[in-house]
Amino acid sequence: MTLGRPDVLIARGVVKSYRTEAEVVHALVDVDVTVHDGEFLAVTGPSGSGKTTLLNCLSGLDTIDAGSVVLDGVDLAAADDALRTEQRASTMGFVFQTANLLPDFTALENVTLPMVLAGTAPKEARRAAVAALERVGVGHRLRHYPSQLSGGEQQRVAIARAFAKRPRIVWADEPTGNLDMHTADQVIDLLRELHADGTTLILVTHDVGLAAQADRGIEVRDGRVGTDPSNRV
Amino acid sequence: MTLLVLVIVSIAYSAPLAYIAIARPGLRLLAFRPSIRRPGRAILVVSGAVLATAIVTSSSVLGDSLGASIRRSAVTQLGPVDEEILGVGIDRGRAIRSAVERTRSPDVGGSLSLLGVVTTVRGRDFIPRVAQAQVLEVDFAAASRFGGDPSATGMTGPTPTGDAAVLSADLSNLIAIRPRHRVTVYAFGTSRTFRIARLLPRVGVAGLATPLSPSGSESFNIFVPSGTFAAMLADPSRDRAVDNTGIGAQGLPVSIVAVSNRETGSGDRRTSAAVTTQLRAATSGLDVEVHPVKQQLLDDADRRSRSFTDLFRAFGFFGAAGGVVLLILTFSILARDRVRSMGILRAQGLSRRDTVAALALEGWLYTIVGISAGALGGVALGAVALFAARDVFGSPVAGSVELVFSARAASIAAGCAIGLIIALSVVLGAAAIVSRRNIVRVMRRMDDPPHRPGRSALVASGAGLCAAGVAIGVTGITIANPVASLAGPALFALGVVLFLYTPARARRLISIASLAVFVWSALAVTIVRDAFTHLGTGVVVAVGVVTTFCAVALAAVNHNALIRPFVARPGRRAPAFTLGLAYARTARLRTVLIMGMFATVLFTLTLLITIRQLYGNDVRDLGRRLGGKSAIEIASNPVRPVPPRDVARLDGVTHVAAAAATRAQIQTALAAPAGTSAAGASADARDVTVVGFDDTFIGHGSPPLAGSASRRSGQQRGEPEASIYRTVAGDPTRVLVGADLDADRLSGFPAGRLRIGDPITLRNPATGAMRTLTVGGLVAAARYGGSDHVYAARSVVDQLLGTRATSNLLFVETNEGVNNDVLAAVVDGTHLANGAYARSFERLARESVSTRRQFLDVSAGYAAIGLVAALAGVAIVMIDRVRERRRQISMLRAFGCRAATVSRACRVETAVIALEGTIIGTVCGLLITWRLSSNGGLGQRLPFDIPVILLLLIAAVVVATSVAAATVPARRAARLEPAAMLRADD
Ligand SMILES: Nc1ncnc2c1ncn2[C@@H]1O[C@H](COP(=O)(O)OP(=O)(O)O)[C@@H](O)[C@H]1O
Ligand SMILES: [Mg+2]
Repeated sequence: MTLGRPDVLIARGVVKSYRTEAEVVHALVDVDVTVHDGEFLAVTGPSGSGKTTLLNCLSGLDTIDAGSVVLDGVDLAAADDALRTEQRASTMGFVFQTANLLPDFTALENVTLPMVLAGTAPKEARRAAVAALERVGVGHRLRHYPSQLSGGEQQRVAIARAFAKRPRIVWADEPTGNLDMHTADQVIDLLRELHADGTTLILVTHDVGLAAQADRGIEVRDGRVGTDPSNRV
Repeated sequence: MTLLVLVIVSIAYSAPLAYIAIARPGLRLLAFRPSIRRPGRAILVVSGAVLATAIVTSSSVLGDSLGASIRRSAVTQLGPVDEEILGVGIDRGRAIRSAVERTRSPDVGGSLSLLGVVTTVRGRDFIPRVAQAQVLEVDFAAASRFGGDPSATGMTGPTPTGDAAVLSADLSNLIAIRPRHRVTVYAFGTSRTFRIARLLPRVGVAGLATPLSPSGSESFNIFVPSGTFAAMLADPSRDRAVDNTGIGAQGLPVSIVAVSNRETGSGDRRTSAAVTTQLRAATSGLDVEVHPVKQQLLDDADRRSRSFTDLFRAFGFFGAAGGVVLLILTFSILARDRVRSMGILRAQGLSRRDTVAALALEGWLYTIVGISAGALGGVALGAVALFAARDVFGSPVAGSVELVFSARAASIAAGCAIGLIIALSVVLGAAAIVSRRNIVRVMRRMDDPPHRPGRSALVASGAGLCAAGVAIGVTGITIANPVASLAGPALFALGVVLFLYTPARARRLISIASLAVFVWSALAVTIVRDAFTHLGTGVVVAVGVVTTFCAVALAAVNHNALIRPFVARPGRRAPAFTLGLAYARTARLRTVLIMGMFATVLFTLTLLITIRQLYGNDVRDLGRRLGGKSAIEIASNPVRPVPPRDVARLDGVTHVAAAAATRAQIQTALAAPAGTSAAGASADARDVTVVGFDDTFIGHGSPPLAGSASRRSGQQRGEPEASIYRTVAGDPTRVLVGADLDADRLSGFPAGRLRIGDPITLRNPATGAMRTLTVGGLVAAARYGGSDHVYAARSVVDQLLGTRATSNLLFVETNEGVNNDVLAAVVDGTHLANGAYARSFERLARESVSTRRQFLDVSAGYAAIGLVAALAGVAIVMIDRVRERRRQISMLRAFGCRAATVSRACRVETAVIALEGTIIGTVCGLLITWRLSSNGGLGQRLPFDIPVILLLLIAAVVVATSVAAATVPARRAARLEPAAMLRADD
């Protein structure tokens, strides 16, 4: 409990391993993480340390082998797929390393569709989507298909998709990994700007410089969460 | 009933989807957009659905048309005639008709009196031709009024007078004479010549079929002026040396009273049975025979159309199955295509249910479009197949059926519903799997780890399958059921595989099991031979599925080893070849399915083509089997038969044997279901020629006995043929029947056979004289000239005729080197007045084989439809495989692989799949045909022979067309640029 802000996510004793034909990879070993409401948390660590796995497990995208992940009072580890899906739809947004846009849909539709599918009225979803896209600076590209957008623009659309429904938490997994430095800076500025509106932001990055801009940081090493070297709060 | 279920299920599938399409705009957008953005993909899926539905629909359209055509020709041939009452004598008609009136039956609509005799007629044109025909006297005005609908009677114009006669079109074709030509009728020891006034169609009274008329469903009728018979009988120059004519008519015409039921044409079995009973009661004192002719003809038509459709279904089965596999392939590819988009949306919070709904909605869209077009295509395909089959069915042996196109709405609806249900079931199943995929793995483009069932589950299901397999197999072998005696061991083997399964020994286990089942299915044809004597749908499908499945499984698990030798030395081959083979090595389930499609179609084709070849090779032998030592059969008018010494004097003739022949209706235990035989002339009566012989016939005209039959029943073993013939000649309670008595009329495939000791009944349809005889032996082949033959003592024929029979059937032996066809023509020409009808046995054999071969050709054409499904399948799978490998291919291109190499590799891969399937199917087909041919499964033992050139040609065509089918995927592969790998995001 920092500064009296409630915890939006509490993970305790999370274990995750991958079984391949040859071996068992222990990607997360007994991990404890707490995320406060409205904070900007940076997750750092070398490549292959388990950052992505951590994000997937905490957000409920993936299942865990042991432990608990309580998000907004709901234990995702115990919840069935329907409940976890519901949680994602109502409270989370995702930004991945690649934009992961639907190739057959325009920028506007890519942002609108998930909201409509989650039950938002089409008109309202569209208004929110246009606003979000304008905010991330691709308001002039609404009717373009992903293949007609640059990498940076695609990533902006992905960010708009994550924020348009005003989720409580946004998970960003190396969102700048595929971008040039200038564009990467713009994307990070954008994320910080959106975070300033009150969204909890969890940013996975191996860039220590980026992590330094966060409220707080945790470091993943060999599937364990180490002490937090840059906790400035 | 089934249709109702199908329709209900289709609606149950469609209704919620239609609702979703309306109520959920998001899902609608998700489902419909891809088809707009990527019409190519959409067209691919839709064309899969189109083809599949077309194939399924076409087979039911074909079935409909065959059934309807055969039935229609039966109905129109008799028109208003429902029953016939036959009494020997020239003036019986009045008494019979008044008896009919006396019934006052509300079901009887009217009656018509005719006079008829079956005898020899000769056409006089440039080349005179003779034939057996039914000569009729009837009042045309009364005949056209009969039954109330003049057009249904086929009778037009005035009754012929003077020297005019009216001919049926069938007879005019048979003896090649036209109006204004002359025709001579030989009967009662005299003759009359007429000028043909006009022709009549094979309809109603004009096409009148009676139990007397020559066999086959054509109408060889000639209508002569009233009083002709009376005048001929009174002719002072009449040769009274012989006193019989026609069939058992004791030298007299037969009075025929045709009865029309009120509900005529409908073929109502109950009405017909009731009227027949009433008529029998009313005429009981009159010494006449009542025949429910319409019902008999309809029953016969039903029986024939069942047998045709059964065989056609057998050969079309793999086509339809290919259509279904095609549906499964295309729709599972569609679902797989959507995995990534769905994963992305699932990450954004799309629920599993909505994932399934979106995919199902998209599949539904394609299905609706596909099956509508497919149903139309199927109707067209059916029409084409029907067109191709018209000659075969139009042949006299097949009953001269005029094929009419008939597509019942119900069959089309059923085809559509089946297509819809299969497609949507596949979509729903695949969608359920997609919705359960791990989102993280999907986004990382990783496959989910294969689902490994637990050891205990494998053991349990393995044990269960073993037990079921043993039970089914033992039952199948005991009751001689082909499907069960193959499916049982196959299930057992599958059970063993599951029981012992570990990934490490999978390959060895599957290899051994499939090899064992494969060997068994080849052996079973001999060991459980009783199960494989009726070559119908069951046998073809069971043997085809089991052998090809085993061979494909064997090839699939050993695929790597099979192909490795070709890949091993990359330096020696073109890179495209190496690459294509390397890709073919990575065969997956879909590839194996395609291989199976090719294999099953090629199995059917090889079976049909090889059997066709064997039949072709058999012509000479069949001729010998039919005629024994004799080379020519001469049938003649019993009134004035050809004198044997006339023939013996001809050059090249070494011996002439004589027998008495008459036509009769036969009833056997095989044809007559229990309980129907009691009622006298039952609906199951069929025409046969009864050959009455004495000791002079033995060793000359006597056909060889069935060798394989003796082995089985054991009764003929060791006993020389001559002594069996002698026994029958001296015992009027015994008869020899053909082993092919119940064989299919078109294909010649056996369908059960009588055994020694079985009873049969022979009956003279005109007088009702009846003999029940015991089968004393089986003749190897006794079907020729459109009729089955049975051989009995001469006295049996006398008894059937009610008089001493003349020797109207001669069996002529000739010198080696004599042209028997020419000799037969000489006999015909020199003995016209005797109504001689001479044919060499070789020609008779050729005719019967040629119909069979035509039928097999049409069946092969029909089976080849399955090839279309296989080709479409391979194209679709290859398009998909190229798409899967986009990254790999662009990587190869980035490393300097040329576009042409990539596209050629794609063709090589396709050719390998098709070739493997082709080889498997051909080998299986040859193996099974070999087993069938050597154990009498094709009717008799036939020396095996492989139509090498034809099979090679087919294989070449299959591989070439499959390479052509790979054009689209190959082009796509070539178009991929090195950079595509980097840009591809889905
Ligand atoms: N699906 C998987 N199967 C097997 N191993 C995996 C899988 N996903 C990730 N790993 C392994 O787990 C470890 C952590 O991976 P990841 O979380 O992606 O690391 P990071 O994001 O920190 O680079 C790595 O060693 C990786 O190889
Ligand atoms: Mg990562």
